[in-house]
Amino acid sequence: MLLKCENLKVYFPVYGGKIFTRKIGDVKAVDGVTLEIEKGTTLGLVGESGCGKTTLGKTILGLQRPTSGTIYYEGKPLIYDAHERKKNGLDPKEGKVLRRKIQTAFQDPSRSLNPRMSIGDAVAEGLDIHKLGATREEREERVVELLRLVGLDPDARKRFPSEFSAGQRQRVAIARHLAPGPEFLVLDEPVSALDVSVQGKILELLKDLQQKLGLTYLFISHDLAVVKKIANTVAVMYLGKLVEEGPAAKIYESPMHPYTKALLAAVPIPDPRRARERQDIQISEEIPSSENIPSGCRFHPRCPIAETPLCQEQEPILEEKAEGQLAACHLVKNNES
Amino acid sequence: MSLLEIKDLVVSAIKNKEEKVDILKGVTFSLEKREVLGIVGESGSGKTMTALSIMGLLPERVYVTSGNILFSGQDLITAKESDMQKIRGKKISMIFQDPQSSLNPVMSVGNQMLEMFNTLLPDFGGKRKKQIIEILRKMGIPDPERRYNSFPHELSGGMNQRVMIGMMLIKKPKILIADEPTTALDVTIEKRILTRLKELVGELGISLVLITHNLGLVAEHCDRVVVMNEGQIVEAGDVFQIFEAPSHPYTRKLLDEVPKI
Amino acid sequence: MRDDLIRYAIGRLLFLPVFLLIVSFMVFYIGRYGPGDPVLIRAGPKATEETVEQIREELGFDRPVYVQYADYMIGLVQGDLGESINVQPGKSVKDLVIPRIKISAPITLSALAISFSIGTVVGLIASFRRNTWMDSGFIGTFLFFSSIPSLIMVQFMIMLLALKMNLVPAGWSGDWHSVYTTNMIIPVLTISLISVAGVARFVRATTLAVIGENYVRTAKAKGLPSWVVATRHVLRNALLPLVTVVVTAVFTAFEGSLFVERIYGIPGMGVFMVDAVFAREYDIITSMTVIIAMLSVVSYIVADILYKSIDPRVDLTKKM
Repeated sequence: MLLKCENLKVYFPVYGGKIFTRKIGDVKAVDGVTLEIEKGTTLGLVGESGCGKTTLGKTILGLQRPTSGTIYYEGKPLIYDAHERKKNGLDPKEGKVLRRKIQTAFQDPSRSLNPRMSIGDAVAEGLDIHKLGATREEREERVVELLRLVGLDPDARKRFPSEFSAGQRQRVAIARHLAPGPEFLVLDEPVSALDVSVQGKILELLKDLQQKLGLTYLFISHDLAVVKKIANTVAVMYLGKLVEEGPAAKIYESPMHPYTKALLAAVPIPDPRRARERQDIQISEEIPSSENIPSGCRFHPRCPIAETPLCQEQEPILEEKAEGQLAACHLVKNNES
Repeated sequence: MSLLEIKDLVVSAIKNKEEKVDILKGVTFSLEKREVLGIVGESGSGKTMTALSIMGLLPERVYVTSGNILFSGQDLITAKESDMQKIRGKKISMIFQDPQSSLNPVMSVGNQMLEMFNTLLPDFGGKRKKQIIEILRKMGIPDPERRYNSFPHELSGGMNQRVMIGMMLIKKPKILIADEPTTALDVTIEKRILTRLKELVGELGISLVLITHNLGLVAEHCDRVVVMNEGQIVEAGDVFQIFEAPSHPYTRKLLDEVPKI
Repeated sequence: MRDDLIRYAIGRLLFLPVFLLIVSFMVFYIGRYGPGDPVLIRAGPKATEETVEQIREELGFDRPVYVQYADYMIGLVQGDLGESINVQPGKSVKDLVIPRIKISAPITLSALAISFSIGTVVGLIASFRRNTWMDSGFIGTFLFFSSIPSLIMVQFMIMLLALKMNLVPAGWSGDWHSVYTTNMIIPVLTISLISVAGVARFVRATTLAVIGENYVRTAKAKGLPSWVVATRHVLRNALLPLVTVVVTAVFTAFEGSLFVERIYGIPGMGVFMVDAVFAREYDIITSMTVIIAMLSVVSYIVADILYKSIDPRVDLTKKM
């Protein structure tokens, strides 16, 4: 078990009030998420906008402070801040090491690369931040190695991002985040901004790197088709909680939770005959905000099958309903597949 | 006679006398009444430029250098700006990709829709306002009376796109061009919006041009397909034919790369 | 919507007294501990040490500074701005300042009105006809004028309009009440000419930014006539940032322009305040600084609120 989240909650306070501003509520971006990612695998975290998946990713990276709950990395609590580590009885210096080991690749490569920095320098920055590569030759060597690793010609390292295509820029971004030698990567929509043909190539690259370097991925995306290509396990998130989790194959073939089913039904099929024959699952559009979470099962106002009073009153627990597959729904019976 | 005929359209970006780049290199296709045409291709293939040429909204320094665009026989390329203003929004409408930035941020949604009536006369008895509230309701926007006074930043992307669609259909145009209308939206909302769009198109008897890079959408919703690459049409045909028996290697490549569920 | 505006204004206004306390304190102390002594100026070069000390005692400057400060502040909250030492001994600051504001303010406000109107028009033309001769021509011309220091510009105006063409007086003629006469022409013209370029460039920039926006494209796609697109969609959004600039300029309009006033002989606020500093007029300096500070803060609050009422996106409740 490389990474584990236990009942992670990330709440953002909302201020209001007539005369004095005081806290009147919370935006519950992440509302009690427990998940585990095994070393060398990819967990695909899917959900629509506002479900909290990006916040979860940021919390793991240390860009966001959790309100409660713990994240464990290699069995130890994941705390980056040296001061806080001390308070919890951990070695403060290890915080820096963790920052090296856990890296990210963000969404839009055209905006995450400094247009005034050559791509060689951009990749080298990854080394400099962590003070790797003592001599200039060492740095140069490592940059060349990294560029080759991501499938780019090292001779191009003096050129600037504007001279490259979107796909190539994403490769540069990946190289940069591989520079410190990470073990765990949080990938938040790494291919959404790319054309379909390029998407495939980058996903191949990511899978390749995973094998070569023994990496573990948290792959966050709203695009179910993309996730299918790379994930070993899939977790579906809705309004801050996980509603279904299981091996990728099972989730795509036999989804259990009505939301998962609706998501899958909404993905366009590039086959005109099948598309016209397919059954439609309509869910209402009104997505409640994370400030006003519905009572009981949070999906019940939009759920096509939520008829029982239980759905409106009690929050379902994420539990195993079939082998290896977990769902949070009152109407999904145990051992159903 | 087809509803819309485009023949050998060449569009170029002209920086100065020496620097000229062809963006569209001789595009030819037609659009019939009551059909859904999909224009598919990767970014940079020229799909949006084609749409903007039809609307007469090409950006600065980009011009139509040759070819014809005939709308029910009327040549849109040689038309004067005042003629084009009579066509835009009324005979041919267009909706764009990012609904959040495509609406005026300091005007209420209702007032922006009201502009479609394009008259300086006051709204006696609030008739026009009532009409708009009805349209909002038909588009599936809850609490339309309140939403009439909302500003775009107060609504979600899906809501704003519905507003846009409702707004651009007020004058019951003959053609609606939708340029990547759901690319910025979640997949469940995308589905609902496109379904609704198709319903409206059927009800009003208009032709829809759906521009997208998403082949799945094309397969689900379009009758005919035009495949573009680098400013040219590489293949065109009936949707079943394109997906089941593509002839051009580029089309085949696109179909291969589509992630399938 | 209304109450978050009110809450914002109140919050900011609560901060005001603290701010003014700090400002008045600083100016007060800088004056007293800085070089120069108004008592010596008052006493004259031939006075004896006893006379000087006598005057010092009379004026209350022998007391500890904090006592003087307390005394001043007590007077200030009651509306007493103090009195002059040397300029017009004994006369209250208020009586000295008000007639001068009545001269400087109309001049500056007129110049503001003119430079903003012309500047906006020029900026709009420049943006709609960008990269043509109109764009560079107009902006370039006014840029030329704004590069001329006011000192030189006013003299040039005098030479041209007064001496050569005999249209206006070559200096301030008349008294305190001769504001709304031909006296105003040269100062107003000088100040406006210099300020147009700044406004024009600002308007040009904001307009260009708006023209490229997606919602302008949508407006055109709706088939709206060009003038509707230009006013309701482009202008309304482009001129929004101008609100802040105009409001702050209006609130501080009384300050007057030093060089123009000096050369033209205008008995205005600009020369008055500078002279007060040279004469170590403690009360005048302190009181005027406090008033300027207060008006500046108030102008920002007003501008913020005005902005919010026009642009619904602005959120004043967000904690900074």
